[in-house]
Amino acid sequence: MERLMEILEEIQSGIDYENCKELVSGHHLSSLMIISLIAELEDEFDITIPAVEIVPANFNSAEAMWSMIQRLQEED
Amino acid sequence: MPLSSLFMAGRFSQMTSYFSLAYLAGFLPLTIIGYSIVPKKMKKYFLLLCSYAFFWFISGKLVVYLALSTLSVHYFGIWLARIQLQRDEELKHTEKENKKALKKCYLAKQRRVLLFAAVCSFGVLLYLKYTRFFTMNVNAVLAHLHLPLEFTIPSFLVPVGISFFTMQAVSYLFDVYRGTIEADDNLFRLGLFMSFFPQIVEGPICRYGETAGQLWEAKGISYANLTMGIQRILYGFMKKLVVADRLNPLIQTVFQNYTDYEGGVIAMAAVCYTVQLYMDFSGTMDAVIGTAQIFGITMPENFQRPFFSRSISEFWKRWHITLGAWFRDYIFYPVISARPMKKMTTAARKKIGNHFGPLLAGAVALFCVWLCNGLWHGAGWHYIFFGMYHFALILWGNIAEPGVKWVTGKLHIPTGHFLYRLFQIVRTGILVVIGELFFRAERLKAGFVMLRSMITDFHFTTLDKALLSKMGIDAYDLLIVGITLLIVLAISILNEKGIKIRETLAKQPVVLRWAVLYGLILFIVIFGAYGLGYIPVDPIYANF
Amino acid sequence: MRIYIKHILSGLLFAAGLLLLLSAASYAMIPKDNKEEAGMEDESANGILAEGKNTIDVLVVGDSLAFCTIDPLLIWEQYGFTSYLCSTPSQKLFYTEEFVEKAFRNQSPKMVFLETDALFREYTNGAAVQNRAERVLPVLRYHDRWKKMKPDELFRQPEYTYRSSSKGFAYKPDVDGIKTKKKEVKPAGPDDAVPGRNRKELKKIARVCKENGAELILLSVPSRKDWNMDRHNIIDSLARELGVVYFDMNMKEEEVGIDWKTETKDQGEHLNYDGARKATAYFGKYLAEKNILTDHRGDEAYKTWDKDKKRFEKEIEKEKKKLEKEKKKLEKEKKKQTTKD
Repeated sequence: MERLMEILEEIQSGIDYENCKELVSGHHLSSLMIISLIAELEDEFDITIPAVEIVPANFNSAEAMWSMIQRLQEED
Repeated sequence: MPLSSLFMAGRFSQMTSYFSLAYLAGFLPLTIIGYSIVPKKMKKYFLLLCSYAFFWFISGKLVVYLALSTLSVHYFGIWLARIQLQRDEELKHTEKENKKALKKCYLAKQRRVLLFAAVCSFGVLLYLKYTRFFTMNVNAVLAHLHLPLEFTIPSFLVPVGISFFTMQAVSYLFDVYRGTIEADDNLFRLGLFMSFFPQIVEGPICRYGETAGQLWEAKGISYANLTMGIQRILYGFMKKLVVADRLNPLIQTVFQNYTDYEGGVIAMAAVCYTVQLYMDFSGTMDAVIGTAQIFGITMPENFQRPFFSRSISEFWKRWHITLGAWFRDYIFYPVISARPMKKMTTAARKKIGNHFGPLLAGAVALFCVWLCNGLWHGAGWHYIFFGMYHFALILWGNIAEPGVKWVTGKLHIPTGHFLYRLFQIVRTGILVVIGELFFRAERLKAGFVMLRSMITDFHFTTLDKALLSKMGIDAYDLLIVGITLLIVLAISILNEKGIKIRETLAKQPVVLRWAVLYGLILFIVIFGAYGLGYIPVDPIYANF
Repeated sequence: MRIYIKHILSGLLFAAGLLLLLSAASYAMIPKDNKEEAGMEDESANGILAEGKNTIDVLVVGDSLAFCTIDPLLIWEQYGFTSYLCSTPSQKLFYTEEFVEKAFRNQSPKMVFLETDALFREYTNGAAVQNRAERVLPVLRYHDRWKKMKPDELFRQPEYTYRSSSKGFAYKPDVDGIKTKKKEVKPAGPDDAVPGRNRKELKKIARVCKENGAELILLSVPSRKDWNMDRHNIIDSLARELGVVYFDMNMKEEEVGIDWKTETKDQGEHLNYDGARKATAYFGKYLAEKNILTDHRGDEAYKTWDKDKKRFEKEIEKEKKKLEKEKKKLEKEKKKQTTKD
């Protein structure tokens, strides 16, 4: 979780990742940032994020991202 | 190929659109009555029967395309499901460390099936729609090289709606492959999803997960759904009959004889065309979604007041939404999450930073999307240009974003201010109008000539009564179009603010409710552009 | 169940209210005169609306073949019979039926002639349904009049004032004759058939005529391009089936005596004015032989017919002069061109 926060900060700082629940729907993260984020997460956590998983629900909050990461790690 | 010849395939050529008399006074009411009479268990089959009947009425024998497409998709879906089942069986008996390899192996298998199925589906579409364009271009090249070789240009009867149901078919297979839905073992349920008559001609492009279940449930017709559905259809009617059809002569005249007109008039025609396209397509969608609502089906919306968009990329999230979403889910994301793309993104990000790093991969994916988008609309260089135009605009928007932020920050421009937002909306509108100009132009060159005269020769000196009558309209036509657009604008603003008009209306006393409906119907009857002297627009989106 | 009935009832009530409203709108929107500028379509055919009550003894309906052939004023001059042509370009049979019904509202013709070319004309079911709807709710036909209407027109009864001086006949002086010597008629083809819809419509017309005490007669006027023996036979058997008379002028080539080199305006489809006079003379004789029509010449009530005749003659004179002028102008230009060259 800490590592995720670091990545998020690195991609776009100045957002309250702890509490924000609408990172995508609220236009805090642009589609380009999501692209970076996906590449970074895959590298960092050794997972594959298939296209199916790229939905707002999975990226709207840090928590949602974390649970997705864990799920994908388990599946592997 | 003229659209009429496309429809002549069927015996009931007068049932050409959802606004035709034969459909509205014949087919639809009969279907509604039949649907409410047949026993609950049979309703879904009745709906399937009516859908095929409808397709047969307008396309005749070409209905086999729809049937074959459904059959093949059904088969491929089951094939994919069996591979998945096999995989799960084997996974149970496999050691943990081997699981990954096994999964990969099965994924590759699935991918091959999916690829084969997609090639089959799109192959038919490409063959029917693009062979002509392709041969014509090959001939042009051959002629250019002075080779004494020429291929005969084939022409096919293209079944109505093939671009739409092919998209649905492929999205179904993709979703099965990804495991978001289960393959359908019931051919009839899948058949109804593919053929449901209100959406077969112009969409919206539905996902299996969205509508198949609802359709198969085949609830009865409820009073609330019936009235609300009819209201929505009437609203669509107003857009189509009062605005789209009324503007038609002007647009046709100017786009056909564009060299005869000065830039101002061409600009006016270009704006009129964008308005017409929106009114025709979104009006048809109102009719489609309203019809579906009568049968208790909630369809995905295709428009979300696109002309309030502040950028081109936002515009395309609000215009023909289901098409954009299709390209996003089945082209943009797969391209962007392909392995080499991700590697490129990671590498680039380290060198050129967070904003520009992912841009390269994004641009590649975006290019694919817009090439497909252009081609999907038809075989022609102007469609390809239309796609590339939007690709360039959206890409530029992304590249320029930090710059714009910096400038507005430095100059203390209040980006949240109403006037700034208005500026953005108007700018986006102008860009859209230019795009649609190329979209409508007879050919690419015509589009450029028109654009040039719009820029270099922007006058309205000749715009008078005589010119209007030459373009087949008069000041009254423009007046009534203006009034109707104001009504649509008012409704759009209310919608934008989250006010649900039909729900609000339903709560009003019956006198007011009926008065509004009577008013709307009379408005359409009197101000609609139909009858003697009017030729309705061919449903614009039906031939894509 | 109760709520179900309530919904059906309110639906019916809504529909009834809508019908009422549309009828009111129809009353407001129908043309208040039978002139073209008042919004009336097919002015010359609808001119019958302004003719005096029960003054027309012979009604002719059909397409352009009728209005290019039968000249009512010639019949008036020769026999004193009154006739009127409710014929319109490419008339479809539902429209024919509409005119027959319309005519009987104010007139009581003793004979109704239907030019048979219209019987072969196809149209879609939709067009027929639309025509019926327009007749029930005229607002569907005249809705576009909002553009030109004066406010006081809204609540007024129509008053028909336009009278066609030629009684629906069209003066066509142009000559474009048949060049070949051989007698050629329309080649046989799949369009030599009366569509089922038209049979039904024809039966209806026959019924309306019978109810109003008029004799229906099927009429084929001289035409080379729209007639052949197949068509004759089809109409002939149709006439037998309906028990009506079929009068085919093409079978009387000799007696009618059309000179196809000079008396057609488009190489054998329509007659020109000279041809029309010949054909009308023969047609008038046919009417006289029926021996049921009254000679109204000299009757005070029919004075307008003499006036109309003079008016029409003047119009023809004017037209002739105009044409001559144009001809001269053309010749002059030609001369100029040749001298220039």
